[in-house]
Amino acid sequence: MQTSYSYAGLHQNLNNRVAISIEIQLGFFVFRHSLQLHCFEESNPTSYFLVSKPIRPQQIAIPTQIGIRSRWIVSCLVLIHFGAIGLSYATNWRRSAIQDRVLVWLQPYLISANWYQEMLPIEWISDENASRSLQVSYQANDANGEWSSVLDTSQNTFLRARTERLLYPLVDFAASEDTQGLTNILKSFVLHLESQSTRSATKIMRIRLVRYAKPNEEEGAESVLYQASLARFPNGEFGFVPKIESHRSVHSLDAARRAP
Amino acid sequence: MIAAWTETAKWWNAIWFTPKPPESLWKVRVACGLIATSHFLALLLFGSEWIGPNGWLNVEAGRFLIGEGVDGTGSVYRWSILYGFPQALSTVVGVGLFASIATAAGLGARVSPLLTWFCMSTVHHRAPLLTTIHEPILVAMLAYLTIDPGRLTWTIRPGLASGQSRISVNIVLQLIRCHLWIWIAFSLSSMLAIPIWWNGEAGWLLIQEKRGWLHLTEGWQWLAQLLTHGVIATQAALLFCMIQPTCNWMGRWILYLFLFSVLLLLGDWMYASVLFAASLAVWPVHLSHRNSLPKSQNAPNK
Repeated sequence: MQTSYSYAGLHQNLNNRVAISIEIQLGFFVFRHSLQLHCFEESNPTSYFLVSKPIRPQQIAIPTQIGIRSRWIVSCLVLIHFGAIGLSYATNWRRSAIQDRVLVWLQPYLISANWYQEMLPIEWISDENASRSLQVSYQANDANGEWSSVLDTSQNTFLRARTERLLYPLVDFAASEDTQGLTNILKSFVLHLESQSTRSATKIMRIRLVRYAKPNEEEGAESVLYQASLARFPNGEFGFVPKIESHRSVHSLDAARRAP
Repeated sequence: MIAAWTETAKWWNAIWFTPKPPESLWKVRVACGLIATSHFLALLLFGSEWIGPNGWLNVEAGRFLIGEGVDGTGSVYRWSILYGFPQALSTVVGVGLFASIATAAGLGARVSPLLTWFCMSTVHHRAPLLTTIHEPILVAMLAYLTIDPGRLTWTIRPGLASGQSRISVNIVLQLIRCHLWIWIAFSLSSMLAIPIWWNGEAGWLLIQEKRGWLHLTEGWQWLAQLLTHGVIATQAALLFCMIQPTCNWMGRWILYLFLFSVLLLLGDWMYASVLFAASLAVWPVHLSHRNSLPKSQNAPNK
């Protein structure tokens, strides 16, 4: 049984009372507590103590040995568990059809218990990663042609990793010409920005144009990957009318960066 | 054949079913709890801006990204309550924060790591896309700690009663070890699949993007290339040292080198902290060698 207290002293006084002082340490704090115990020697030849405040063990004792059947069960569970995780992580390489089928079959366990593919080791950097620097900006109804930048993966902030993870699908959607994916994410961005302005400023901001671009440090300009104006409908909904079609104009690596 | 099988069974039993004292797990739990606390503090500050009711990634976009309604995506197993109640994010994060503090302080036995894991997984299931590099190992360690959280006192003071050795403590330690090994193995293989980790450019690109603590000018590219190769070599060496008990001291120092390179190139101190916490299951660090031993072992030999 695991205990977190130490026995400090036992004192018996004349009234058949016993005091035990107990020291409990939690971090740098030490709590001392004395317990009053009553001793009933007259009523019972075998002396016993009535504890005024019983001490509850912190953990239930677990046997130090387990049977062979339990060992088999634990061993099989361990092998299945790591087999499933290995299979999930292995999708980082290539994916075979049979692997895909097994993964789908294991989804109830892998997804529910949070071991699925989003939990696989993420590369520190990749060929595409290096050229995926992105910036989302917008123009509101009162802007004089000026773009306000909101999400920028080149900004070295605490939230850089999350910003990258949020913006990279835009590039993937653009590459695969998935307009529904693009619209869904950009819609979410626009709603967020407009709700922010509603909460903080007196004037309600209405976004007119939205775009994402790759900042080009060498030329001092941006290469716009996608730009769309917002078409608002009477029911409050809105859609995007692309002005610059989504495309993937970035190179795998800049020549300057490749130079040794 | 039978002899080989018996030997294998003995080896397997010795690895997984040797009782270990709960003291060998408490540092992992404390480290894990502290990292989870900082994780939830960050979520408390920025979480609602990202996945709150009107966050950057609202519920509708979140549902689209997990592939809701599409066969084979497994979106039905995304059990986060935040899809139905996005305004519950602050409650989930608050509960997670308290649970992680309790985990670090050794309160609540198995309940606190379980609750921390639940809150963290709730957020992950809401936006799996936004999972960052440190979270998978952290969430795995929390899941394993629910089996046995080890000694529940946060103390290095000698003289306190030592807990009875348990098999479950060893199982948790081995689970964390295996998970860390698999993680490093796949991390290494992912890197080796990309040419820039072979030709030494990866380090230079990371430095150019100013991700880590290291900032170099053009003439220092050789150092970046050396670091790139160093990252690969240290990971390979770590994998070897983790399965060789005789390489304990070497493994620990290689780990420190690797963590240092993580900070230099990636600047992700949370990732470095999580790797360090997980490595405590492999190479325990004695805060005070004399104090960490039970009284009987501290006594001088007569």
